[in-house]
Amino acid sequence: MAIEAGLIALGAGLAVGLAGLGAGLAEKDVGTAAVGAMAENEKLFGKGLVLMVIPETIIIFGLVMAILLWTKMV
Amino acid sequence: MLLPEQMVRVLVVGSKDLLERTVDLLYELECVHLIDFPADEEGFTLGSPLPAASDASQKLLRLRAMQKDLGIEEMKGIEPIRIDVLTRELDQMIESLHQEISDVVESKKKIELRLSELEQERKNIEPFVGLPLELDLYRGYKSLDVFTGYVKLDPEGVLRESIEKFELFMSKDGKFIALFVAKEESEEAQRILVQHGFSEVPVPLKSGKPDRILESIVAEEETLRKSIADLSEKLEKLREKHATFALAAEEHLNIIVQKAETPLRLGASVHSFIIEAWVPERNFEQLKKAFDENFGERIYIEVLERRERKGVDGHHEEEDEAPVKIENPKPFNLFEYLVELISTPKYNELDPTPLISIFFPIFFGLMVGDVGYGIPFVILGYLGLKKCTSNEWRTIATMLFFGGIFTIIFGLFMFGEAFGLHFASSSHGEITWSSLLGIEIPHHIELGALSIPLGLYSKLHDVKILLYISVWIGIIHLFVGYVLGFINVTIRHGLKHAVFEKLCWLLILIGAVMLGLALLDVLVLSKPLVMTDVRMVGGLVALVIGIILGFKGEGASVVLELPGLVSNIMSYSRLAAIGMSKAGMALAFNMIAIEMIAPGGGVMIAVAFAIFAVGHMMIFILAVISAGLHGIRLQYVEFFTKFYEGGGLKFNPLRIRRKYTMEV
Amino acid sequence: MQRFWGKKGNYAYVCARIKAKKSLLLTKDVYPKLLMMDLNEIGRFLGETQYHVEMTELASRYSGVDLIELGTSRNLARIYRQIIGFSRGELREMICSYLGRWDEWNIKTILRGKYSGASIEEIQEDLVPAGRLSEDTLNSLLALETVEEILEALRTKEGITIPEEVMAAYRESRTLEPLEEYLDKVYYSRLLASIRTNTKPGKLFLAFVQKEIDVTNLKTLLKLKRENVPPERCKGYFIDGGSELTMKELLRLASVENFDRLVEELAKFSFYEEIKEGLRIAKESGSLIEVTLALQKYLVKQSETFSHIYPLSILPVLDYIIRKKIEVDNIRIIARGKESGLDVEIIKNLLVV
Repeated sequence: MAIEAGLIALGAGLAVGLAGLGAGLAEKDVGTAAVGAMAENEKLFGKGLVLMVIPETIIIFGLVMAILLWTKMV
Repeated sequence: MLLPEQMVRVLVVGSKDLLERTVDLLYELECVHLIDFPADEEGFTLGSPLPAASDASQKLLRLRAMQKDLGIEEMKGIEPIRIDVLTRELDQMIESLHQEISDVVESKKKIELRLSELEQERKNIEPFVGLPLELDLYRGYKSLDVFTGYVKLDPEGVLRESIEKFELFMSKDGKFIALFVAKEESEEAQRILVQHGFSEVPVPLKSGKPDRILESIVAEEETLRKSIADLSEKLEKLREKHATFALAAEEHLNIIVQKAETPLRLGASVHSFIIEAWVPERNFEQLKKAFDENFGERIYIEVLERRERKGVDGHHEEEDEAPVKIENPKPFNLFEYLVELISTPKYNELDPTPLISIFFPIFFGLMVGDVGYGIPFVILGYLGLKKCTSNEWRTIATMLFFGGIFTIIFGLFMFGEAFGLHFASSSHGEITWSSLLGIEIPHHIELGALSIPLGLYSKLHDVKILLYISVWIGIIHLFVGYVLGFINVTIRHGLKHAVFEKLCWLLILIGAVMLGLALLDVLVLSKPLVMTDVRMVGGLVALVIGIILGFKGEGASVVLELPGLVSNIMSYSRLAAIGMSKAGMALAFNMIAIEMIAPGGGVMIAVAFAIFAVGHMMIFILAVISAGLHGIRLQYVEFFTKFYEGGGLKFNPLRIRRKYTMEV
Repeated sequence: MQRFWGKKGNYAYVCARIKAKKSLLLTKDVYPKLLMMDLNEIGRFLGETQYHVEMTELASRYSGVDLIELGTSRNLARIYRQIIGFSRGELREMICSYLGRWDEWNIKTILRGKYSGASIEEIQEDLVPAGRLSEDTLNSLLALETVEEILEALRTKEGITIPEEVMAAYRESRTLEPLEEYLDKVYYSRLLASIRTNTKPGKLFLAFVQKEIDVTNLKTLLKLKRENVPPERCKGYFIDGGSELTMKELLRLASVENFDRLVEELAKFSFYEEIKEGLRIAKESGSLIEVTLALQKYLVKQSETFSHIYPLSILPVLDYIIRKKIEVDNIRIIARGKESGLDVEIIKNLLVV
């Protein structure tokens, strides 16, 4: 039982962690581009912000997987 | 409210001598959106600017330069100056201002230049202060070469070995040297120096002792700095004296130039001018009346077209798009900026502002769901709306205010939380407000026949149900999106297209949901698969019909976009996820503050309170950012893509705004 | 993050900023309006666009044509140095080496100024510190007295060594010509050396620079032929490294009998279609303006095509640099044209739009 719980926890952690890594890599370039574009033209702030947040979905999926795994454990 | 205003395209033709008065009239009406005349039209040129433009432009250039020198910026709460007073005094005021300022600014610039020169000189001479030689002694030798500069290592030893005649001076810290060596051996010397990390510093072109020179430089810098301070003070006084005038004059000149350059956007022939413009249909009568009263028969007005919503197939009408004028009633128009952030709606589609105003606060409330945060939100939002004028801040204030209202509602009834602590005593044995305050807060409030719950779900414990609710909210949201898309396509292309383009997706959505429900039982609850289950059959039927219709509408890409739909639905699980994460953080801070530290008594209670406050402040800010961003992101990416096209032209009528001046 | 990627260069940031800058450039329909305005209005108009920093700074001391000319060239310098400033890694190297042509222009201006005895202020007004050499470096070069001192400073600080034979030619001929030619060669050889051809965008960059060299050589060739300069003297004027007009081709074309024959010979090359019309006018009227304009437009079109193929590379940056220069040139042509009272139609035909 202990091993089971441990493995599930490990899986949940990996899910969120790796997803976070992926989203971070994605948002890195988009973020610098958004900041750069905004430096030239203030009006691009809204669009830049929105475009930057789009890769967040990856994390949410990771979180959902982690939660589903967690409910299996509890 | 839901569709942009109907526009008509008008043509105005008149003779050139009426041009100036026509321009004035157009600005007064404030409802005319000019279509810039194309420059390459046969037989016409662009109008030339009215004569007032040139002079006003020149004054404006000088005025703006002076404003920059004085550092005048926008001010609030100024008494507007009458323009007849202004025009009378404008010329001489600009002249006298110029004279007063230019001397001061010139001297200031000169002093600043001299100061930077002095700084450079000081940097150059500082190293030489460490050596006991006068500067003249470094120069003018016929048979010697002189090397001065920084070294990393002491070269004396090596020099002594290889070079016969030399003299080396070193500063106290051993970093700076001056080497005198015979010309024949100078190459060797240089090589050795380079080995010891030598970097040359040229001797400054002065004479005398370095320390004296340094003193005089520092002294001069002092006096100059004082002068600059004086001059800055003078400029400050000038600024106070002239700021109002400068701002008023700039605004006035700006308006003159704006009006005088309007002919550049119009067409002209030798004797006449041509204007093409968009006017909202309901303002047309007013326009016609105004022109009739002022010019009678001498100006010709005609309605060229009344732009319909129904689009033509294909997009070749890029050139003459009708401008889009959105007007929304009071609470909704605060959200217009959020729609504009993506882009202005097109002329022939629905304006999504009312829908955002409803859904976004609800999402925001769901994601935060805590009375303790909700009340500050509402207060801050209200203050922001009262005081802020810039669009961005007003939008944030709107978000806080309306989101805050829903936060309180959800926090009170659905989650029953404040600052992460539940109201009623909980079955999980955690701290609640009941246990903290020592009073019994019921789970339900009885109001006559109604039983109002004070907290149905707990964000951390009822995760599955909350996820379930979020996904259902998502399905409803997408459903509304597809319905709107259906309406949009109907407006644009007619019912048939709408059926193939959007109805198919509606059916797919319904089908997928029903199948999902059926399969959920099988997969999660491990019930046996019943093929004749109503939901199963209905779902499959709807799904298949939807895909077939989609094939006709969009081709094979329908199948490729099916997974996209699933990911969109799943994306709404963030409503639960974010709520959970905030609750988790709150739980952590509460536990630390209340269970771990507070029982210590005395000082520890203060410490616990501090941790409590700081922690919740942090969560507060994070909540605003993440709930706001994700709430708006759900609107933009999931909702809008189902029906919104955007890219419309914003209605920009000719009008003047006066802040610092007043018309008579 | 920079160290993590090594010398790669921050393409995402730079390209996003460049695209934003590009959207603020003057569009085609602004030029007809500018043509209808007079000089004060043009100055004010520029003060409301992205030239406003320079315009407000200078408006108290200058006006009219001077204001516009000085304002636009200072703005060009500032923007170019800004681009160098925010790029990193190999991207920065490539941009620096491309913008080295401004360093070369400045050095030439300083040499010419010193040679002809102009004052420091006069030379300063013509400098455009748009390359790697900052305004301070250029001022320190200006402070030196003679041509030899300046060349010495260049050798120690910038690593530009003038070989002995060029120095000898300079002393012999008593003109700056040999030095200037040599500086040209140095610039182009450095530029070609710095381009990385192991990437696809790098290859396109190289192709583009080679086309530029072709165009420059072609302009020189046409001018020389029109003046009927003997072929032996032509060699020194040409730059090595073009793609279609190699050194051999150029020498062959230079030794053709006369201008008309040259035009016929040019029909074999790819850019002939673009300049056909201009060459015809040149044959008849002897004026090379049409051809020059046609060649400019050809280059601009090329760079526009390139910039869309690889959006995250040096190509969009290059495209912007060229367009910015074209815009500044256009504004100055309009300003000078208005100042000398030229007819609007004539000015319009001189613009590269």
